[in-house]
Amino acid sequence: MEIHQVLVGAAFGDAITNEAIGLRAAIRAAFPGVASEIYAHHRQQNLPDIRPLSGYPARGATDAVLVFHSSIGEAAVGEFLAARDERVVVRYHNITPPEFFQPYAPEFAELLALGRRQLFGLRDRSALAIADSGYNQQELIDAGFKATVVVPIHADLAALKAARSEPPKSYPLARHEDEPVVLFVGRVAPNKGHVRLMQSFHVLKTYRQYEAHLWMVGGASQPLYSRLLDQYRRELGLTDTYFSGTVSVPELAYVYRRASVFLCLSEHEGFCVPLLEAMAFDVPIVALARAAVPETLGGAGLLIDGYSPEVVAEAVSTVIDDAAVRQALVERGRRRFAELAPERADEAFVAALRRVVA
Amino acid sequence: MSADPPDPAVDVDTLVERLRQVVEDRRRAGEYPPDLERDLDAHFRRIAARAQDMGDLQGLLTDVRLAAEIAPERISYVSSLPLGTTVHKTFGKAVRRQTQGVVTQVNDFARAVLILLEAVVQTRPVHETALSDLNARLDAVMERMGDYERVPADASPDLRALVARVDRLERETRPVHGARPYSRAALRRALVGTREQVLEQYRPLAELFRDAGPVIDAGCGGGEMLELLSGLGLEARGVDDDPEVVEEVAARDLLVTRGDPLGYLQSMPDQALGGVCLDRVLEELSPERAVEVLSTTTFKLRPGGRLLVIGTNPDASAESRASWYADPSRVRPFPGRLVELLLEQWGYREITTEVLSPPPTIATTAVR
Repeated sequence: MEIHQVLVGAAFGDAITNEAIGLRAAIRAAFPGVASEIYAHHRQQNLPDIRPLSGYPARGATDAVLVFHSSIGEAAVGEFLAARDERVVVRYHNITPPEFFQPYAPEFAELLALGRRQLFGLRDRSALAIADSGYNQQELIDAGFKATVVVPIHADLAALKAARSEPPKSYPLARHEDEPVVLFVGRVAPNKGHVRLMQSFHVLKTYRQYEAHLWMVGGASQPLYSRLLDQYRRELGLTDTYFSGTVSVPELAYVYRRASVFLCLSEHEGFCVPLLEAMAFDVPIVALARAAVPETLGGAGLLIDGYSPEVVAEAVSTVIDDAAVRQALVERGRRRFAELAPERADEAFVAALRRVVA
Repeated sequence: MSADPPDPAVDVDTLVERLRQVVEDRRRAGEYPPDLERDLDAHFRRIAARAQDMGDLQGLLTDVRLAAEIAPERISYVSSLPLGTTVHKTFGKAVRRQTQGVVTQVNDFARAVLILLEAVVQTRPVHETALSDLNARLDAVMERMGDYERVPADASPDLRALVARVDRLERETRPVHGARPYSRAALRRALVGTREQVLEQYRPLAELFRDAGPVIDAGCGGGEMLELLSGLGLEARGVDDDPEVVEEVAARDLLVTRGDPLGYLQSMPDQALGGVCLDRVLEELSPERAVEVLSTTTFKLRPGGRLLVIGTNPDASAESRASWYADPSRVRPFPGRLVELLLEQWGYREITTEVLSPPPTIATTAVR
């Protein structure tokens, strides 16, 4: 018997890749003697033990299961899936609705649309679709998937928590040691709310916390959108506002240890692993109640329903200034983080797989 | 000492609702301006629309370029009438000389129009840089007004300081529009030296940037450093807010943009540059703005990038410094020691300062 996982792309630090690696260990432990590998169409060099999709066994065992991690669209992966006759389990992490990208990167929007078409094309042949949030499960049900279940993402943050701290090289940090830092971690993308982050920070810095800093950590892949954000930053006259680009693990550990508050104003998140990372580092969270964010937080954050830059600024300012509020949010974060421990996610995922194997 | 236990009275679940009420109260008290969210959203939409506009203009320009490829060969001889094609070919050959003459004139006209259109499209971002800089300065004034609102009414020394700061900001805004009533280039030649003298002095300094492109010469003045950098085969661009200077430098086929040097530097992506040269720029700015320009280089230089700061040596004898006071654009000497201390704080390494003359000059070099 074989249970293999298929990814469109695999890269260091990528949440889906990390989950696939964790699940492979869980599958091998739960199903002794079962072959379980990870195959990816795009592979970053030197990733441990991730195989090229072209090397997928030509003809699998009759009882084989293929776990497909659905993300962005890729024609070659679509053709691959169409040619296979194994039982397919879809692991759905959400595909960002293409409308967010249409004005800034129409080609990328088309890839997202293709990803959704590929996903919906699997609805009749998937034995089970496993969503990592109830929000994502509802999308699957709306798309016509019949057998669905929710299993939170396998987010093993032990290595990140144990990592040494290293300040990002490009930032002059010496003068900010005692000043509050508002942090967001996530790709620079139109659904991630960077415009609103800057708006709210503008209000915060002008009216409430003159010494505050805004750190927006994450890689950027849409040059036009990044240029617009930079122009907006300049025209708002925002000082102490920093786009880090991609960071290393020690740099990520540093920014979480240094952060005063994690601010998430994303319009669309299928799960949002950085919320868990913030909880892991005892960083209190302020977030906009959108998509899967309320579910992932599970009460562990100040949740704002209905965006207003002034309300966001007041919330962030309160968390910075009020030790009791901060402590209450940190305690809630610790409890929620324990609920979403990777071991629990693995158990639930394996239990879901047993339904298919049986 | 143990940490305080959590306050049981903290009600996180209702906190956001209470904060909404706080915001409403502050709006009513005039602390938050009305329609702030709407204005902020509209601001971003304007930026996005401008970008879209530029994309459309570039597309239209490409269409014009293609249409401007005028040649007799593009005139079709094909006819559906019997012997029509032969007649057209024969007639075409007969009037070839006249056709070629017309095509040449139309091509000359099309080239001139195309150059004009390209200049218009390329100049647009420069105007936008100046405009956005003005916006940023207006925002800075608004922010100062925010300070005013927060200062207690009886704090008159603070208020006087505030008014002085706003006045200074307004003064600093004027040069952005190139409104100097004198030729800065002519003054520079008289007070700093001829182009040949400056080239001689800067030649060893330019070596710092060898293999370190792209380089921005922010406040490029007469363009001497730019000329040396181009001579080293480096991708180098000058930025200056003086239209006369920009015209003079551009005439020497050097890459130069008219605009505010700080605004231009800030518009670059982080860690995009191999080198930045600030040639007698800091001494023409208020101390706060000079520090802002200098600190911006820490974002824009990539690790290993080189920084060169050239200024007048404030420690030179009073007699040799006389020329410094003769230039009305000078605001305050920016000592090399201060440059060194700031760069040290921001993590620069290999910081060295060299004293040169004449005129009395200091050149600080550092590696990001």
